[in-house]
Amino acid sequence: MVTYRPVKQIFILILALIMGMSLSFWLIPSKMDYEWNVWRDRTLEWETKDYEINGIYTFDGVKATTEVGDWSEGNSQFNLTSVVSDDSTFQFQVFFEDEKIFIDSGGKWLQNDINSRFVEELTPLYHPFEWIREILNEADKVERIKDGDKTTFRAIFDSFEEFDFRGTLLSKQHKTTLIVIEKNGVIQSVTFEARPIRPDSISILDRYPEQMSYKIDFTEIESAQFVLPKEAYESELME
Amino acid sequence: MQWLRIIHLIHGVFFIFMLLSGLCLYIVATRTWFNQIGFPLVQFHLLTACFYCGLVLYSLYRIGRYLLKKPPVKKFNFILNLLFFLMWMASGLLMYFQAYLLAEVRNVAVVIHDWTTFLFLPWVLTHTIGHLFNVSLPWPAWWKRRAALPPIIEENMLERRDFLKLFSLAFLFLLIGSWFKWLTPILNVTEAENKRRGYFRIYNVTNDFPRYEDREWSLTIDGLINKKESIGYTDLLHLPSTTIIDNFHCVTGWSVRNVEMKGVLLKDLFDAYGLEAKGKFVTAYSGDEVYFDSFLTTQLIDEEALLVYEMDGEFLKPAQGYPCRLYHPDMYGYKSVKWVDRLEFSGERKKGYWQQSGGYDLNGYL
Repeated sequence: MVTYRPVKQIFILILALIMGMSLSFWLIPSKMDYEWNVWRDRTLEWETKDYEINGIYTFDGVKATTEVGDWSEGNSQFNLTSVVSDDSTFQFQVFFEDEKIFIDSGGKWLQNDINSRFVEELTPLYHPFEWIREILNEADKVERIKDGDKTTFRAIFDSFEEFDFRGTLLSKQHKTTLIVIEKNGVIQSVTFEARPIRPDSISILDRYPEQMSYKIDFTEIESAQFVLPKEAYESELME
Repeated sequence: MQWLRIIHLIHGVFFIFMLLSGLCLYIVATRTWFNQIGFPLVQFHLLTACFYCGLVLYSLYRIGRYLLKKPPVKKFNFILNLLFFLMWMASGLLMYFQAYLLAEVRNVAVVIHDWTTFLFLPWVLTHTIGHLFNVSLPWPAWWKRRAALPPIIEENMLERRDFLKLFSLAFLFLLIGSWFKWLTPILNVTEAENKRRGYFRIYNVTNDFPRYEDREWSLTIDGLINKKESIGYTDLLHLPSTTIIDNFHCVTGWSVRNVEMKGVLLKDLFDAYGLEAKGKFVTAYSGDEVYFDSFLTTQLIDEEALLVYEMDGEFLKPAQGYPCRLYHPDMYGYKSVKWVDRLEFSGERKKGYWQQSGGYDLNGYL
């Protein structure tokens, strides 16, 4: 007499394993994916508010620019101080109004349509939150640390797909991080610390940093100040 | 069972028409040939599909009841057909109403529609050959007739408790898998954001396409404009370029995400050559001498339309429209005239190729 073992027992087990596992790997995000999405969604929330901002850009440990002003999604204005040498600085004002950029340099006004060149030179002032979203697309690791009211978002970058930060091409990285601190749902600061590896495409004669950092502090305000004089609208076109 | 025979026959005829027209739409050469002879293949496929769906839905209940006491092979054929019918119908409806859906959903619908057809082909061939040549396959008796089941089959017949066991275990594995996935220190989502997704299905309206050698191509800009201009390929490459990463959408449902395109904005070209359009409309002609489409002048000048010459970092391939194609970021692919060699400005709007022969929307906005 032949005894049959029901094959369906094993078949059901294997089928359930395939169904369950494939569904979970397809539908469920990893914790990092989830944190990344939370961070990205927070940027959409942050950008709806107006802020007073204070930024410092350092290049190889030396302060390169400071930026103070008001930011809102429509109109923003900043006072920029660029360090020229040990004892001299160059100051100018930048205004973004919708699709226009205006610059006041020593009382001389210039204007133009906002294009990628102007935006890149003043990254990430024009739109810090869009910039965060853009750079997050290059992140290799993401984490979110909650400590009471304070939340720290941290992204680590091992390499970029040719990402430009204020004229510096970022490719492979030693250790580069982006840290955003939020308190009670309000963004407090954005800190970008980069330790880039010089790309082969950069000539040995060209200046390239071993380290650079950019930090913006945000203070939420009722409404961003924005006053453009009449001569700004009548000014010459900026090259 | 005369009624059933007639239904089976009509079903077979509709199915064959639908299958053949679907395959002809899928294969570039046949699709293009039907375009050339002016046969409305898409409409034919849709009409046949409607009749097919109507027939299946009409006869479903009676056939289901008829099969209750029939051998397993008949039930298997019925369930298999029903399963594929539902997948074709659902994916077909999603493709038809794709304008209202997300690109991801549209792409999945197109893939399901294609693959269900390919997977069904072996059964169609076997079944058709069996009927046409009276071939009887050596199936075991219990499969073909209502005979006693052998023990190995009987004990493996699926019962309600087996389905309960299957879904309970699947749910358990879903939880275990989710836990593993959650803990995996991998950031997949950034790759998904940046990754090129999908692939192009290249459609032409002619069986052959223009092949330009040694940069002999030029773009003529004429009609109601302040001056006629002819721009060569090298001239075009010397103009200020713009690179965009955009999602390319076809009106038939498929999309390709994150396509990098480099070219010259029409606005920049007009600035560089001091051109001023006097006509409210513009017709873009393809170098294949058949295809053309029309736009409002403002759509090309003010809405960042590009004359694209590079795609994903490489010059266009001949089939992609080398040396230059028109591209409007907010319009469907049929507005992206390949091998564009003439822009004619006019006071009246012409209906484009697909507006005349396919009823496509004149503006073609996404």
